[in-house]
Parts: sequence; C-alpha cells; structure tokens
Amino acid sequence: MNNALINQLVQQLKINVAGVVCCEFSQLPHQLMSFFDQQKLPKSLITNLDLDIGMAIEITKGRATGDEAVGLSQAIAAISETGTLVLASSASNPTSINFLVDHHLVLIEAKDIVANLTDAMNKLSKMDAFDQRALNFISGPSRTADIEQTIQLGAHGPRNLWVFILI
Amino acid sequence: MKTIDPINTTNPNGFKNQASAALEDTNLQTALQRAKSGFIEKRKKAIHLVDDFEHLKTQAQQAKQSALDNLNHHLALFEKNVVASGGAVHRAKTPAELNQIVLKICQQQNAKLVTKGKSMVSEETHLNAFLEKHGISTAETDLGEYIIQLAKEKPSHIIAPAVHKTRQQVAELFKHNHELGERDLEEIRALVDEARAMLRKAFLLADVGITGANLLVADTGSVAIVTNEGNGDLTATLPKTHIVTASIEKVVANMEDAGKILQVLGRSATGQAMSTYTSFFNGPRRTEDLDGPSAFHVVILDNGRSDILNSKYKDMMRCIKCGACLNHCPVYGAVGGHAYGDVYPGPMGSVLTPLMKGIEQATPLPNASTFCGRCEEVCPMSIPLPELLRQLRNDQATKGLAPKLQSMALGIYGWLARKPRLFQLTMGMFGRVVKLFKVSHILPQETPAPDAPDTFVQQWKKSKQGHSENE
Repeated sequence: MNNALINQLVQQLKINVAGVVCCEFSQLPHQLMSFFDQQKLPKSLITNLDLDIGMAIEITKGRATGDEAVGLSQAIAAISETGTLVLASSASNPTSINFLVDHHLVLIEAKDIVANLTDAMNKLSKMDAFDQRALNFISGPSRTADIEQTIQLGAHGPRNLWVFILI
Repeated sequence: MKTIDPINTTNPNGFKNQASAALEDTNLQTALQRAKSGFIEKRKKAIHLVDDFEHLKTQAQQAKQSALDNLNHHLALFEKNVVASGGAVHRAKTPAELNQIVLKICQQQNAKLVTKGKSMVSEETHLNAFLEKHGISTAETDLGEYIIQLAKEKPSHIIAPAVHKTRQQVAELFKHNHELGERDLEEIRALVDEARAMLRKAFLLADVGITGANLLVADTGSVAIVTNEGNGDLTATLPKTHIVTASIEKVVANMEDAGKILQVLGRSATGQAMSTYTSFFNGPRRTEDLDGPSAFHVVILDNGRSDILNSKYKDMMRCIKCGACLNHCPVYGAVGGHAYGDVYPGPMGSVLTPLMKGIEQATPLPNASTFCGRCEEVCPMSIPLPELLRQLRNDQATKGLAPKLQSMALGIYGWLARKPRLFQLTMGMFGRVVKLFKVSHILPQETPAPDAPDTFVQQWKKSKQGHSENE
C-alpha cells in the first residue's frame, strides 16, 4: 500500500475543501455515524451500493430524486496529485447521487489511488471504464465564482463532499 | 454620472463607439478591474505549482495538432463509436442547420422546457432565441449564463459570462425576475442560493438537456465537459434526452490526449489543476442504469472552421477556449467583452469573428490590439495571436478595407521612407513645426513631441564629427 499516495490525496482533498476520513472497512459504520452526528443530520442516506453498514442509518436504495440530503457512492479511482475521485455510472452508482444530494459521501479503496491524470487514464482504459455511460471526475464540492469572482461552494451540486479512504 | 445608451452588442464593426461607451460605464469598469487581477493571479499560482508547464503545453499542443492534421478520420471514428454506444451524431455546416437539428430532436420529444449547460457553440448559433421562437423555453443553468439570460445580454467572457456585472446588478435582476417578495440579497451567498433553488426546479422538470463539449474523444466516442458548478452534469443526467452542441475542432484521438489538454485547460482558465467536475459521456443510459438520458445526440458544427483549417489562419483552430488571452489583454481589460460586438471577445475573438463572419464584417477587430504579445505568451496552445491579427490587417489593406486615413497616411509614409533625402528633410521640418506650435504631444496617446534641437540623423552626424575630431 502506497502511503505517499494516500497522504497526498488526503492533503489535496482538504485543499479542495472536501472532508476526508481514512479507515478500515470494518470501521466504516462507525465513521458514517460520526459524520451524521458531526453534521447534525437525520441518519438516512440514498445509495444503490450493497453495503452492510449497520442498522442505525436508514438506507434507501435507488437513484437520487432531489429530496435526499445525503448520498453514498463508490469511486473506481482517485488521483492523488489533484485530489480527484473518479466515479463511473452503473447500477450500483447512479450518477444522480453525485449531483443532487447536499452531502455526497464517497468511498475509495486505497489500492485504487493513482498518482496523476495520465495514470488514471491508463487505469480506466484497462478497466474498460469508458464503456459505462458516464465517468465523473470530481475534485471537491460544487462551486462557482460567477458573481464578482468570489468562490462560493454549493452552486448546483453538493455543498459538501466527504471522502472515506478505505485502507 | 452621465447616462449612456446600452452598448450595442450585435455589431463587430461598432467597436470604436462600443469601446468608448464601455470606458464610461463605471459598473463595468469596477467589475473588469476586479476580474482582471483575480484571473491573472489564479493562473500564475497554478502554473508555479507545476514543475514544467512548458512541457505540459507542448504535450497538449501536439495532441491537438495531431487530431487537427487528421480531422476527418478522427471525426468519423468519433461518430462510429458514439453510434456503437447507442447515441447519434449529426453534422451541421451552418448555425441554421444546427438549430434545425436541435429543434427537430426537441419536437420529437415534445419538449416544453430545455435546460442548458454552457455552450459557446449554441451562443454562436443563437440557439436559445431560435428555440424560444418555436415555443420551447430554455433555462441557462451556469450561474453566469443564467444572469445574462435574465439580463437579455450576451456573454462578455467565454468562461465567465457575467464577469461584467456587479453583485448589486445581479441582485436587481433577481428581484425583478423572481417573484419571491422582500428579501435580503446583499450577500453573494444569498444570490447563489436563490439561483440554486430556482434552477433546481428546472433541472428536475426539463425534457431535454443541452450541453456544450470541451472535448470529443474519437477512440471511445466520449464527450467531455469541464465545469465547476455541476450544472452541466445535472443537465446531462436528469432529462430524458441529452443533446451536445460541439464544433469540429474539439475532437482528439484518445483519452491520453484528452488528459494532456485537460492538464493545461483548467490551469490556464481558472487556475485549477482540475476543475471541480470533468465528465465524460458515452452514449445513453445502459439497460441496468437507474438514471441518465435514454437518448444521446451530438451535433457537430462547422461554421467556417474547415475553411479556417485550410487557410493561413489554421493555428487558430488549436484554441481550447480557456479565456487566458482575454484575461491578460490590456484592451479587453479596459473595455470588456461586449465592445467586441460578437460571441467571441478579446484577442481570440478578434481573430475568429472576422474569419467566421467575413473580414469586411469586422474591420475594427484586428485593429483592437496593441500587439503587446501577452495573449500569445499566456496561450496554452501557443497560438500566434498577434501574428494572426497582423495578417488580418494585411488582408484588410489588400482588400481596401483598412480605414482610408490610415491607408493614406501609411502610403505617404512608405513613399517618403523610400527617398532618404526627402525623408530627412520632411522629418526635420516636421520636428521644427511641432516645436513652433509648442504642442506637447503629437498624438492623443502618450507620444511626447521631440524636444531635441535637431533630428536624430543630424545629431548622429554631429556626434560622429565630434568623435573624429577627438581622435
């Protein structure tokens, strides 16, 4: 496992104003609970991943419709240099979750982290990832600087991005 | 403050008047001042963080150039791969053709409301006005584009369409257009939230979503868009139909080359190593997908680009529309985008507009440059913009389109300059006459009148005599 890549990814995601947690998969339910407590949000989320994350969080399976505050997806790759997550549309990762929820939670396995965009493109090509309908490279929460060049988060997409790096 | 008429933004030949009006518009000047320093600083920082930006530039240029050198092959391959993934590709020679194609698709879907991501191609074809004329409502969803749609204006910058507006002007527009009663819109946050709420409804209601394209990737048949707000993705994901409006020069060979261009695009445009969202779309939803459009169309516009590629102006087709040349141009920085009177402003617009609309339709634009060269310096594609502008001036002169006074003055000067004795005599007289009238400046610009007693040649001769006497 490449710790340098993990550290760079963590740093870069923080620069991109994303929240980051590194944990083992077994700790995920606990970390998710901490997220809800910290943000004082009702414990429910939308996802179509098959995950056993305990009973305490109400999980709705499916795509996002605009009514859900929190959504959970899994990235297929991450780029440490730029703090970027790559999400591929699929039955288990509906694209609408990436953009319609206020808080987007993303899981990424440490083994799927690559150094830069070039490596990411190579990895994705080998995985035939471009056969999926959509690939979203996400580098932080939605933002705009269209009014007076002042950066504001939460333009149209998620106001918060939370990344769980599974080691 | 003197009230001025709204700038006429539909006439590339009106540059002089439009520029004068822009210089007197205090709101515009405030906005431009702010934008200029912001863009320049952000880009500078991003480039400093890279070991060798020149290397990234060279890579990106090679990727773009090799695609352009074999454009038809790449476009054909792109089309084949889009079709293979279940989408459709349409080719439009003219803006009118593109509009007809898009309208037809919308009508087949019985569309009432269309959401739009940012697309300069659709600005080029005036697609919104055309669809509205046929009873289809359009909602621009990029915040900047939304603001100028409410203001019924054109974008004044290719990546920051509402850069000419102050927050107070945006608040006025929102109060006038959103029936939400009394509310506090002092803060930018409040404006962003209000736009988010208004447009969220449109995203969920729209029948068709139209986005532009930053790249078309031939060997996967992918369309890439680069955004920060996420509006492009909501536009491409939620409606039943996604239409992409693109132009022929956006095609690249493969993902590796796409990556090379992305590495310079964000840094040059907004100073971001990667924009918040870079998305690749490969056809309509798959059978197992829970969301995504069920129909996927790509309409590719030519609008004179093939001709440009076959001309001495072909370098212009490497342009990736990052806007760096606008941000660093002293002329753009002084007058803003609307003065240029067409869709593309700044140095890149001053080259593109005459080429696309006809050189006689935009005679002032190639002259709206000081040739300071900053545009070429900051262009990630190393497009020789000053040289292209100079060639356009040349073409204007050859066709007799240059301003009469300018041609006459240059003609006289050229004639004189070829007769050294007469030239020296005239220049000597000119200097004395200027001094006689005690004028401090020869031209309205900062060109001080000479205050030496003799002409340069006379002084030179004297100093040489002095040298030989001393020896």
